[in-house]
Parts: sequence; structure tokens; C-alpha cells
Amino acid sequence: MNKYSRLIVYTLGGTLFISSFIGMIVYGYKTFYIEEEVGSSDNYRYHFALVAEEIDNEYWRLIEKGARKIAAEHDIYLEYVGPLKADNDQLLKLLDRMVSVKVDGIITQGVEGQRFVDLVLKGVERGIPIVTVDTDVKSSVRKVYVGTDNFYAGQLAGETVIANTTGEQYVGIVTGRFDAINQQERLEGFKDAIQETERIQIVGIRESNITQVGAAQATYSLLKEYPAINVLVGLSALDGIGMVEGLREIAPNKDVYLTAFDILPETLNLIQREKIDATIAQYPEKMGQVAIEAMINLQQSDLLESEIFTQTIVVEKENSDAFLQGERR
Amino acid sequence: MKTIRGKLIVYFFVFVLLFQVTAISIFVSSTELIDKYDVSFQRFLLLNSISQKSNELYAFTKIYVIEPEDENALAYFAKKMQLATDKEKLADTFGYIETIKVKNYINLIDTFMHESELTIGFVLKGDIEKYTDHLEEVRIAAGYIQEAALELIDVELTAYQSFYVDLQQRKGYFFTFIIFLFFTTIALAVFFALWFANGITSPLNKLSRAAKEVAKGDLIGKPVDIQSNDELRVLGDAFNHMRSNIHGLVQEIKDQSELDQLLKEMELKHLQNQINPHFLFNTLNTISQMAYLEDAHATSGLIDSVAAILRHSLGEIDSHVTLKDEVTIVGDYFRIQQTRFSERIQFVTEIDETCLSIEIPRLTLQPLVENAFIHGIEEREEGGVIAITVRQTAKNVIVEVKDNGEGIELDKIEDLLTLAAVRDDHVGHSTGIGLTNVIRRLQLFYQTTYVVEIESEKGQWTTVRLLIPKMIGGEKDENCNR
Repeated sequence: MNKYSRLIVYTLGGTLFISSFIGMIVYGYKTFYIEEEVGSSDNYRYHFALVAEEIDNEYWRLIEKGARKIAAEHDIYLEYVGPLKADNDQLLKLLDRMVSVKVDGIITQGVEGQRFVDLVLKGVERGIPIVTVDTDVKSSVRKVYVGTDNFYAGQLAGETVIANTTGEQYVGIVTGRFDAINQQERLEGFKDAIQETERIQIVGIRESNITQVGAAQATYSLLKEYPAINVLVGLSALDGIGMVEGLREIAPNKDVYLTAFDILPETLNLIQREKIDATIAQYPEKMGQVAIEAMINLQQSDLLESEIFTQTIVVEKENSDAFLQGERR
Repeated sequence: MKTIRGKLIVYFFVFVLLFQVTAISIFVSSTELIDKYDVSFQRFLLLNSISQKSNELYAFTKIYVIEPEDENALAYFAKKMQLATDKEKLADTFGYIETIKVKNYINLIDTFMHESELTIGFVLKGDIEKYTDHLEEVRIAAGYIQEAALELIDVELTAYQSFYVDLQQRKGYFFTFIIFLFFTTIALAVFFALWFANGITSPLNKLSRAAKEVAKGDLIGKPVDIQSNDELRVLGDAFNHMRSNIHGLVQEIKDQSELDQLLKEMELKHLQNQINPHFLFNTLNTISQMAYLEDAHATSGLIDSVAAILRHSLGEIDSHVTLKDEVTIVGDYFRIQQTRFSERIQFVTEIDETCLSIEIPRLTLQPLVENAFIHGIEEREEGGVIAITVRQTAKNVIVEVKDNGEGIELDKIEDLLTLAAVRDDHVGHSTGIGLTNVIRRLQLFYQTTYVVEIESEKGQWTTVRLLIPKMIGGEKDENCNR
């Protein structure tokens, strides 16, 4: 008995000692060990800035995604900045700051007005190449525009309406912002396309402030003012979704031909469910990629062309599957 | 670890080391954390300083634009120098954290300073339109610097927050660590204390137990076995050695005293026998001469023999004599007995003369012969034979006394050799010295038990054999070979 109890006491004592010793070592390590600060030695070849219209906009995030992909391949640090809500003054301020910060190149949305032209001039004078994406300002000294041919995109929308409708058509247009050049160009293109077709006429234009709620409200007020409207055309990314919403509010059973812009997943979804009849697909990722590539080339020498257009196509129910899958990918 | 002191030093060293390591760890880590905090704080201070200076620089630029005097220009340049110094510090202070943001910030300051310089330049040239433009740029750039500083502070604060969370976590870990340290040291202390105490007390216990045994007089207990390798082991070994020494000495003293006692006993008997031996001796001599004169030669010889035996037995009992003397006495004894028993007994001697000079204790051979006579053949009607043989081997001189008498029983032989029954009655012995006395004396004299052999067959014969070593205590007795 004595031998057994002694053995048990020894074992318990040994276990206590070993476990507390191990605990002491482990917690001593956790308490006292301080990791060296491992700052990532950011040594990039170039430092580019991408100034977006709105920082958390899905469309702009796609551009960023494409840009980042190419930037990573070429060891480039890409600083993505933009106003929290679409705001030209804010954007111009950010642009100015990026010029002051002396980045190696700026990719920005074009903004209407003299101030943008001045800022681009200031930047280029200080040796910073500036590339416009999505929206161009032809009067500025930007090195190159990369993006959709917005006029052509507008024309595509107009042609789609012509091809898919018969009889008198009263068109209501929801545009992102009146002061956005890309929106203006698309509108011009649309008008240009339907100019020859007398049975189609535009009855009203509303601004959505590139938000979904804005688009719904615009649709609502358009239909309230002009109940005859049987074609709705959205010119910015979220307009299509907002228009469907607005239409459901005011005239759920009315048969309206709807064209939207861009291929956000929700838009494609609505096309599949036949809520939207057609949308004009842009390739924002491609825009980002091409813009960075152009910017890399600009570091060495000026480019020959002043506009690089990315593809634009009409997406209807028949060809929407490929895009949905593409999105998922 | 060889000494108790060494062990103690090792034990204490373990504890001291444990606490030292803890103390140093606390010191190092707290220093590092404070440094971290300090660096973070330095960054805040620097950012604040730059913001202030850029604002001041803008103010000085504006003052110069309004009042383009040398005094104001000097103030402007002094401020610009300060700002440039602060800017230089930025890269060091921030190291390679947030390089892009810091780079942007530095570039902003560059732009700001450049614009302010341009403004001053155009003021000097007097180009109002340009300097107002550039002054506006300076103002805007100053604004950007503020913004960038705020962003950096934001980043810094975010980092600081994780630092703070880390600190809180470390506090928790520290508490757990202290608890574990507490248990570890307690367990270690108990273990060392038990081990150390055991290392000292268990040998001491063994020693004290053995010492008690010794005190009781038990000198032949198990040797004290001490496992440790320090002074206590030396103590134990010394104790064992001492005890076995004491045991040997006590044994020696006992032997000595026994020998003394035997001798005293014999001396006492001897004295008793000396009541009138000289008178007897002288008378015997006179009788012998008388018998000779009366032509009774046989009687005279007989009386001479008796006198010789008497003289021999009167000598100092603890002195040595040569074997020759002993043999002569035995011869005298034979003659007397021969006369007494005539044809009934026969004596045979076979003696190696070269061995007779060896020294043996007095009165050893005669008692053996007498013993053979009394216990062997006295009872026989006739044909009794007593044979004495003296021969030698390489080591020993062998003296055999053989009789063809009654014989001795085996267990009796055992008793005789082991001296179990010390006090046997020695009936009829002329010198009063029995067999056991002879054996014991020989054993003590030669310091060996193997000195006498007894062989016997009941009713047939008995042989008592003395094995007298030629060497005593390593000293060879040369006489034997002479």
C-alpha cells in the first residue's frame, strides 16, 4: 500500500511539475516574445492612382479588379481612390491631390468642366500621364481614353429599341447624371439612332444619381407624368434594376420595353426573368486592364492613338447565359 | 556535485537562474513594448509638428506676399528649413511601414514647399497673377498635408489599437505565466528540499542505526551502504572500516585473554604440583643413585626417567622447547610405562631426525601419548601398540601419534577439534593436561585452527596428527633443515 501511494504521489508531483513547467514556458513565450515588425518592403516599379466616380460602386470595382490584375503582374502599386458618393468636386479634389502626391500616373473618370481640363494640364505639366476611363473629356490633354465608345453604346440601345418594337413608342429615359459626359454621349447616341424613325419619340428624361433608389424614383415620376410611356431606357449601371422596381410600383401590369446598361448580376438576372428586355454590355474589367497597360506604355513614350475603345454588345435573354456564367467565374 | 556545498550551490543556482531569466524577460519585453509605444508616439508628434509647420509656412508665405520685406523672407526661409528637417526625419521614423502613404506624404510636402518657393519667386518678380495662383496652390497643398497626416494618424491609431489589444492579451498571459511560475517553483522547491534532505538524512539514519548497534556491542552487522557521492559516503566508508577494525581488535583481545587464562590455569595447576616437587625430584635422584650403587640398574634407569619427566613438567609452561626435548620426554614416559605393563604394550617410533630442532610449546607431545595410552590401550589385555612418527612436508612438520585402541567416536572428534566440550575430565593424566588443552594451545600458538587432525576407527585405531608449520608469522624456521 505504502509503495502504491508513494508511486501515486510521485506521479502526481511529476505531472504537476511538468505541466506547470510547460505552461510556464508556453505562457512565458506568449508574454515576452515580441515579433519583429515585418513591414512589407513595398518596392514597386510604379505607383499609379485610379480615381473612381464612386468608391464602392460595383462597376468601378470591376474596373479596379481588372486594373489590379495587370498591376500585380507588373509589380505596380495601384492606389484606388474615389468619393464615397458620386460627387464631381470631391473627385476633382482627389485628382488634384494625386497630382500633388506625384504618383507615376493617374487613371481617372473624365469630368465635365474647365477645372478638370486645368487639373489634367497641371498633372501633365508636372510629368504625370493621365488616362481617362469610362468617360472621356476630349478637350483635355489626357494622354488616352480607355473605355466604351459611349456614343456607339447609345446608338446600340436605340437600334435595339427600333428592332424590337412596332408601332408608336413613347420613350422615357433614365440617365445616371446629367453632368456626366458618358451619360450625355450615350444619350446623344440614342437620339442619333432614333432620329430617322418617326414612330419613336422621347417624352421624358430623368436623373437617377447612379443609385438604384434614384432610378426607381425617376421611373415612377416619368410614368406618373407621362402614362403613355411604353419604352424605358436606362443609361447607367443601376438604372435597369431601379426601373424594374419603379415600374412595379406604379404600373405592375403594363407591358413596357426595358433596356438597361451594363451587366451587373442583378441586371442579368432580371433579363433571365424577362423583366428587362435588353442591356448594353460594357467590359469594365477589360477597361481597367487596358488602362493600366496603356499607362505602363506611357511611362516610356506617348501613345499614337488617343482613344482605345473596349467592346460593347447587346445582351438579351438568348445570350445572357454566357454572361451569367462569366460573372460566376 | 561532489560535496554537499556543491549540491547546495547547484540547487540555489537553478532557482536564481529561473528568476533571473524571468526578470530579464520582463525587462527586455517591457523595454521593447515601451520602445514601440515611444516610436508610435514619436510619429504622432512628428506628424503634428509637420502639420503645424506647414500651416505656419503658409502663413509666412502669405505675410511675405503682403509685405515682401527681407525680415519676412528670413522668417519664411527659417520655417522652410525646419519643415525640411522634419521631412527628413519622416523616412527614419516610419521605417518601411506604410511606405506608399509615407511616400505620398513626403511628396505632398515637396509639392507644398515647391509651390511656396514658386510663390516667393513670383513675388520677387512682381508677377501678381502667377503668385496669387501659386499661393492658392500652397493653400490647397497645406490642406492636403493636413488630410494626409490625418490618414496616417488613422493608420497609426489602427496599428496602435492592435498593439493595445496585444498588450491586454499579454497582461492575461502574464498572469497565467505567473501562476505557472508559482507552481513550478513550488514543485521544484519541494522536490529539491525532499531530495536534498533525503540525501543527508537517510545516510545519517543508517549511520546512527549502525552506531547504536555498535554501542550495543554488535560489531558484525551489515556494512553501512551509502549511495550518495558526497562527504557522507566518506563518513560511511570510514565507519565501516572503523567497525571492522574494532571487531578484529576485540577478537584479538578475546583470543589473547583466553590464552592467558589457559596459561594461568596451567600455572595454577603447576604450582599446586610444585608443593614439593623439588624435594621429590632430589629424593628421586638420591634413590636412583642408591639403586645404581646397589646394582639395581633397571630401577635406577626407571627412576631417572621419572625424574626427567618431573623436571620437564616443572619447567615454565609458556616457554618453548624443541621437538627433540618433547620426543625425549616421551621416550622416558614410554620406558616407565613399558616397565609397568611389560609385554602388554609396545612402543614404535619412526623419527626424521632433521626435524627435531623445530620449536613447539612445552608439554604437547607427552599429553597426546598419554592420552592415547589412557583412552586407547590401557584397557587392553595385550597387543597394544603406540606409534610415533615424525616426518615433514614442504610446509609442515607432521607428528603422528597412533594407537590401536578403542578409537574415538566421530562426534567426539568433532567436539574435540572445535573445542566444544572444553572441560573434559582428564583422568589419570600425569601432567594433568588433557587433549583439548593441547589442541587449544597449539591453535592459539600458531594462530590457526588447522593444526590437529584426528582420525579414528571405532575399536580399531586412532591417529592424532599435529601439523606444525615450519614458518611462524612468515618467519621460516631454519632449524628444521639444518
